[in-house]
Amino acid sequence: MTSTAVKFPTFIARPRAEHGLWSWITTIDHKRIGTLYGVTAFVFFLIGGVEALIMRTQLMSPENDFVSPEVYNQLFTMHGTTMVFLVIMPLSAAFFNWLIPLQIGARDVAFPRLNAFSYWLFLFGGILLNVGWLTGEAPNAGWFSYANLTEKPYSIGHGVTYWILGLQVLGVASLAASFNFIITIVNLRAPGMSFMKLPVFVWMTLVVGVLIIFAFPIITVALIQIQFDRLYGLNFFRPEAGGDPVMWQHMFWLFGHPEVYILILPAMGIVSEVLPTFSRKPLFGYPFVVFAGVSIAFMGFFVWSHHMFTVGLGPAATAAFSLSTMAIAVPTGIKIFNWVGTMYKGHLRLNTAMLFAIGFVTMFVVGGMSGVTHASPPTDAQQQDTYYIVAHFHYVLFGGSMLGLFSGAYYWWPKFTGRFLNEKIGQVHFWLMLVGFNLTFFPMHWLGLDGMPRRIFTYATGMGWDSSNYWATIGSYLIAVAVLVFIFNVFYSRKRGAVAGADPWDGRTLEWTIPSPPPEYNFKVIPHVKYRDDFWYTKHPELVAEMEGHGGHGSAGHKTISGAADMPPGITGEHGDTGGHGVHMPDKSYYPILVAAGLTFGVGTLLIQEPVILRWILPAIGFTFAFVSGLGWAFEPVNEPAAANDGH
Amino acid sequence: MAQAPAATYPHGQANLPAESHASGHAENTSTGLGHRKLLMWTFLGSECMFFGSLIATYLVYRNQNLNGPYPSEIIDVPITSLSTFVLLMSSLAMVLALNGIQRNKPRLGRFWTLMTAALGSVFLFFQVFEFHEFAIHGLTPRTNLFGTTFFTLTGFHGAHVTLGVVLLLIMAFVFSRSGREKLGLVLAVSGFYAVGVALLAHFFKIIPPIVGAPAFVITALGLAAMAGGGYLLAKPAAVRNVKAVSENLEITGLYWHFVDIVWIVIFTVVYLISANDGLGLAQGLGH
Amino acid sequence: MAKTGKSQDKPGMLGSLFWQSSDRYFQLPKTYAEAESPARKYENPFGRLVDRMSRMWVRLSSGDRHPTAGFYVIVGVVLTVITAIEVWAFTWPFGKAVINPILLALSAVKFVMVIGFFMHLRFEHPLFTRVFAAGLILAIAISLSLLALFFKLNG
Repeated sequence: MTSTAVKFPTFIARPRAEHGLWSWITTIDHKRIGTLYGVTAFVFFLIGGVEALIMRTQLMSPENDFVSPEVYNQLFTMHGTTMVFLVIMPLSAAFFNWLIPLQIGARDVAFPRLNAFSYWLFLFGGILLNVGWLTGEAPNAGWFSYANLTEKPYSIGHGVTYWILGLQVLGVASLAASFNFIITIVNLRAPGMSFMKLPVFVWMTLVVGVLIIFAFPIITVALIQIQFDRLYGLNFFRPEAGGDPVMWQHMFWLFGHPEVYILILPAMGIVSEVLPTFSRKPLFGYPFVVFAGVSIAFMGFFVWSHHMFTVGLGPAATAAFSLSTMAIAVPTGIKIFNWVGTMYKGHLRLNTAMLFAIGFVTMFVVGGMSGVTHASPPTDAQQQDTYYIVAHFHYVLFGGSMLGLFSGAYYWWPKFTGRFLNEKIGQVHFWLMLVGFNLTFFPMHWLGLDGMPRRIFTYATGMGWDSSNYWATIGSYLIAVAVLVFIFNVFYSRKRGAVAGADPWDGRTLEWTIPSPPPEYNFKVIPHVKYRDDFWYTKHPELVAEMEGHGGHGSAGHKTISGAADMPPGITGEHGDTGGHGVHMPDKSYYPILVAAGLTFGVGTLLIQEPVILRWILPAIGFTFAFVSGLGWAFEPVNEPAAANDGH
Repeated sequence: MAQAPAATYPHGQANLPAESHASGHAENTSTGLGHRKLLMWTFLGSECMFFGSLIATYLVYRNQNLNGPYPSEIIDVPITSLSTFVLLMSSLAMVLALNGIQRNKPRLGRFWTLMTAALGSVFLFFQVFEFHEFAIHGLTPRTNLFGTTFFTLTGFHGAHVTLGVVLLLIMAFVFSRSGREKLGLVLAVSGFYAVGVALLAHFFKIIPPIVGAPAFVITALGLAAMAGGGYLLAKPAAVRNVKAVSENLEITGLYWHFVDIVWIVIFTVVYLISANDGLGLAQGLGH
Repeated sequence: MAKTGKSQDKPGMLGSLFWQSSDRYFQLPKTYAEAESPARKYENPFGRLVDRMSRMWVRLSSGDRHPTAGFYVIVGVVLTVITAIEVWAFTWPFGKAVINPILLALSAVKFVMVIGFFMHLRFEHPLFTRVFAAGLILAIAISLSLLALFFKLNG
């Protein structure tokens, strides 16, 4: 009998399904949750992509009437919101989920049920955000929903309300996931794995987690304020009552700029894993990459007003934010130099994952350079709200984040599934995407400098913008083809992909020490880590002396290496006793999805204002349901006593 | 590495996530710190940003009202000092509760836990009274910027206190294992709230039907229930796993103290510093 | 787990007020053994006074991570007294420029006392202090930046 302190009336029997739909609904295994995140986010990627294609089709020729201005507003709002909150963040979360426990030598995350809860809340929040398409009133005020455009008299209908409530739910999901990963990384590292031995991807996840827990409360408050204004007639952003719409801009960008780094840092982490592996060299200047990431995170909180130069903040504020914005380019540049330095004189293996990683570095440099140009307020005044900005942030978010994420997909696919993605199809995918991407977004630089504004549904003939727009649209179709090639590759490789062993790339980090795909418990023996890139030195003991000779990062004097792979079965470490019984993973649970459903229902029904009685009853039902399910969660042991007794 | 049947793998219980009540021990983590306590502290760091944003909004909009009532006409510092004192004392009760549990005195722990919840509830009664008074004097969240920012800030603080009270009552329930104790707990708690609501209703006319005789009857019944509940609870409590319970109580306590320190800031910034704010800068500077 | 015991170097005064295991001038001992240790005897500039206060502290806080109930009551009384002073200071006939900083300082003292003693940060692993202080300092910095943007830099 486990010494569970409290017996509480259990509402539902413990789920037991091992296969099929119910096993996925009740799963709390970090790898399965990672898969769920990845698949869901990819579906949203297709939705957001179709929205982009419709917009590009509309802009293909001047004075086109493929879609109406109203629909166009909804399209650009939802494209931006979807790609930021429903694609890049959760795709990064898919990698976090899959890889963090594997890379730090843990069997799961610190709070497995909270992890499932984050996923379900993300899914429901994404649906809530997209419900507007079904009712014909999708959000239409831009992904930043500037006040007072979003106040009731200027934005009737439910569109913006869906945006507010959907983002509120998604924010809670991101916060829960971030707390989980921070605690996991701080508390569940394998013995010996000090912070300066963590893989860079783990470091960047930690930094992203810290950014999220400090940035999302701000948008939570801002969303509450705009929601109170819209639904209950408060005065936060209403100038007629003394409120200041600029305050919304401050609140939004106080969150929004850290958010930019939340989007790019995971991809930077992925690339920092891929480049050393395929250059067959350790990462050049590891501490610099890490501290550059940390300083980006810190400085990211103090540059927000550069999104608002044209508001007119006064010369002192503008100068301060201009300087801090230019300063934040320094750590970013340091990272670029480190990646280039990693590849320099390396034995490069140019497979698809590596190509995407190099594509990331080059495209990110282009986006970074155009980004620095609008750190200068006079230049920014020229560029504000033009296609130049669109070009810039697509170079960092698509050319940066998305290429990085594709790189990670090709790199870790063998670990996820046990099979390689097809290399030839992958190369086609890469080159189509790279060409299509540049064809789409490079012309936007000069379109923007020539004055073509963002967020317009059409433009007049004779402005000289026709051919650029035409080719940009062709480029976007090429990107669509590239994505289809990727999907084909996934299905093709499911059965016909080459079978991958535990360590197909001659990798450096702990995830390559265990079988592909990993067993449910990940590590049969929790590894003891001595060096950064411990597995690499396990495989290449001749390099240890060289590394230590250069003032390496291991503990000097130790000549023995202990990775997991060379540890004889049955070895007893303090963290891996041979007790003769199986590894008990936490049991499945219904409660995460129930609490998430209750919360989403409660928040979503805040939208219903008429009749007045429903205004209170429906949210109350949702929150009560979530609370009761939460009680069930709190009093449900991680392991059912009966299950824990199996092996005894 | 070939896969062998799970049964032959080394026992890995030590590395399992410590999420259950049973595994509150923290020795098996990299830092030696419990997952959940670290989670609570990280969460509180995040909450600083939440309340920081609300307080910053309040401060940015301070003195920007276009119409009254202004803080100087409506803020009652003496009453709020009293409620501040009550919340401060609830924090003291909270540490005494934890101290009792950690010294393996469950009954003492439960007494102080209930005391904390009671003092927190009294604070909430004060807040209900205050909001009601403000509404009577014409200040609602819609009236002006002060109303908007004041009610949002203190309202969210009040919501946090409410959640804390609920958590504490659940904790007190956890201490009580026998049917007799549970009955006593339900009686004491419901009696307490009956008395509170009846007094609030009688003296401040918040709920029109409960004035005069009905209020006194409810108060008497409530006091009787509290006495009965207290008698039933006087029996020594038996908590099976003091360590797990004390970890839960400690984490709940951290949350509770945080709510208290947020109020320390709100009391200073919103009440003491702003209490004399009158006709704002808005008119004066032609904002 | 081992505390980061940098007993030899002396960090700044401010840091030692907020972080334990830093400066022995301001470091309050946690056990009798520590209080009696010859190393700390005549190191502090205030001589025996601090030494005597240290012993009193140890008696109050029972020497391990869990101070006694009596200690908590004393902290509670001090907090109440500070609150009373705050409310009293509110009535002083000085301008806001004088009173507001005093009020803020007093509430900061209360704040630090509650997190330090009631929330045990004084007796705990420094990591807890760091994660909390990160959020707190960031929140204060951003609030001040916002106020400066609206009221000072908007020329």
